[in-house]
Amino acid sequence: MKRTFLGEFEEIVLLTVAILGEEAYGVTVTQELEKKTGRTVGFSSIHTTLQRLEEKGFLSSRMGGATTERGGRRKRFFAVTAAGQKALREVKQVREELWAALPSQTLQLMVG
Amino acid sequence: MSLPNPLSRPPRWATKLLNWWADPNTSEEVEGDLLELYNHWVQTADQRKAIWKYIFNVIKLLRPFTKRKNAHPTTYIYSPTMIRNYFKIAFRNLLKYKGYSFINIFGLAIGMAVAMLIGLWVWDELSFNKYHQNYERIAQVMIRETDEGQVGYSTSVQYPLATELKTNYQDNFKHIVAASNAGEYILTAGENKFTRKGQFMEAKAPEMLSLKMIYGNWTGLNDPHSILISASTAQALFGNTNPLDQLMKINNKLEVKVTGVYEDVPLNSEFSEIKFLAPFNLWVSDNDWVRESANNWRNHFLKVYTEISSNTDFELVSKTIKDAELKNIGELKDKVAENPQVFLHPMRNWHLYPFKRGTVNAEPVQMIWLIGIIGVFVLMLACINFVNLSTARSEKRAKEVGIRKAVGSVRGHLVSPFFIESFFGGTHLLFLSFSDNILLKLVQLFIGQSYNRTLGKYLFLANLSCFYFCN
Repeated sequence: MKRTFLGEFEEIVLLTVAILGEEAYGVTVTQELEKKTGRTVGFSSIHTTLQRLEEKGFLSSRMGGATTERGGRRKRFFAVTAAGQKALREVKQVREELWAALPSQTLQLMVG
Repeated sequence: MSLPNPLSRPPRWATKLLNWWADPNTSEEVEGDLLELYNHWVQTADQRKAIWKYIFNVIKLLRPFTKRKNAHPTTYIYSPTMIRNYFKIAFRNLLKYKGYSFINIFGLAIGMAVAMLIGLWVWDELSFNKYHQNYERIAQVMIRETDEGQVGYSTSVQYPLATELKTNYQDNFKHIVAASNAGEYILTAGENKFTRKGQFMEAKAPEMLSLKMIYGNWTGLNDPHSILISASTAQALFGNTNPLDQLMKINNKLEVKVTGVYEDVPLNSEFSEIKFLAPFNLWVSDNDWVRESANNWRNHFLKVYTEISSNTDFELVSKTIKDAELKNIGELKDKVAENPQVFLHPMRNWHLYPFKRGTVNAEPVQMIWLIGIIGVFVLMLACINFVNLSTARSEKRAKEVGIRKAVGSVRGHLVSPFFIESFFGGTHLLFLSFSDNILLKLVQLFIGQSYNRTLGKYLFLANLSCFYFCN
């Protein structure tokens, strides 16, 4: 199987962008991630990850219109590319296959 | 989101820091995002915490060494693809407008060929006599006389003057060489007979003139019955055999032995026509009248060539010897009245500053200037013509320029093709002008070396490269 180079944090960020759809930019991704996972994430690490994902080709970006609330600075909106979607699917598939391969006893123990 | 409280603004220095040192490619959205987050933090937690978070994030976002990536790559003028394209276009244009190309290139080529030939001619004139290594110190003894108000210059001197110079003025000279006039003589070796111009000279002549000896050496004329012949004469008389010590006759009378063969003196030397040298004394012994003139101050018939000592100069020597004749002709009142002044005429002036009717003849130098200026003009006209035609052409190619501009050419991109085209034409042209010269050579072969013959010169293509790079 071809390995998709997607770290754990990258995967979560990529998923969050997918969830947010049209509204995905630095701030929303940070807030959404904090809300969904409950962990405090620095904006800087989100920013860096978004940049890296774009470099890898999993995300595409475009600049939005200027808004007064940000002192006239534009937002950079992100969207998941086809490659990004494929990467997410592959990760999911691997997880599911692994879960499916768990012996039912162990599975029962884990689910409790 | 509510408008930010003016009191709760993030620290300015942090924003500045971000502005200066953050990744320049994303600074705009990062600044915006952080500001938005700060407002969020101020609302959800207290201001101090928000400020700390802000600063903390700013520091983590600093990327002081990141370079700005250009959205559009800079256009690269000298990319191989573009250069190939320029050449292609140049070649196509050359082929498409054959008539124009022909006129343009051929016009300049002919202009250049003419300029080159003129350049060669001038070069040849200026390098006259330089074949002789002692060029700078060789001079001919001349006499200036005033006869009935007319000043006359003569290269022919009296026999006793040569003797006088040798006995009383030898200190000033390294060599004093008396010589006969150059004349045509019949040279006989076995069955072969040829007429060749030659001169009877004293023994030091080959050394003074630094003749390049092929056989024998400079002392060849010490033997009273010897002869030095030029390589071409040796070839004519003896073929490819070694001519040293062969016997031959001058004018079917004087028995001489070949004691040396020298490389033919090139055409741009005063001595180029001298195809053999024989001892001066042989000539004296053969001609009674010469012997009888040994003390005759009235008979002018000798040539005297000198090489001055290295520690003096022509003017000084001329001053010293000026009365060499006058003080010996006390009893010849008519000669004294002519006030003969002996002086040296340096070799470097022989060709370009000869004497004519009592004054220096300015014609040779004027001729060089005239021809040289003509050459420059021809070249200039050809260049102007070339530029003119090229410019006229480029007007018609506004469309091409337009398209190039439309697909994103910068200034350099628009200029380069024209430069390359000119250059391309230029290289063709250089070939052509060289081949013009070769063509000329061929023509010469057919019609008998016309150019060189008419000029009495031997200019050849090998000179050309030298001419180019030396200048």
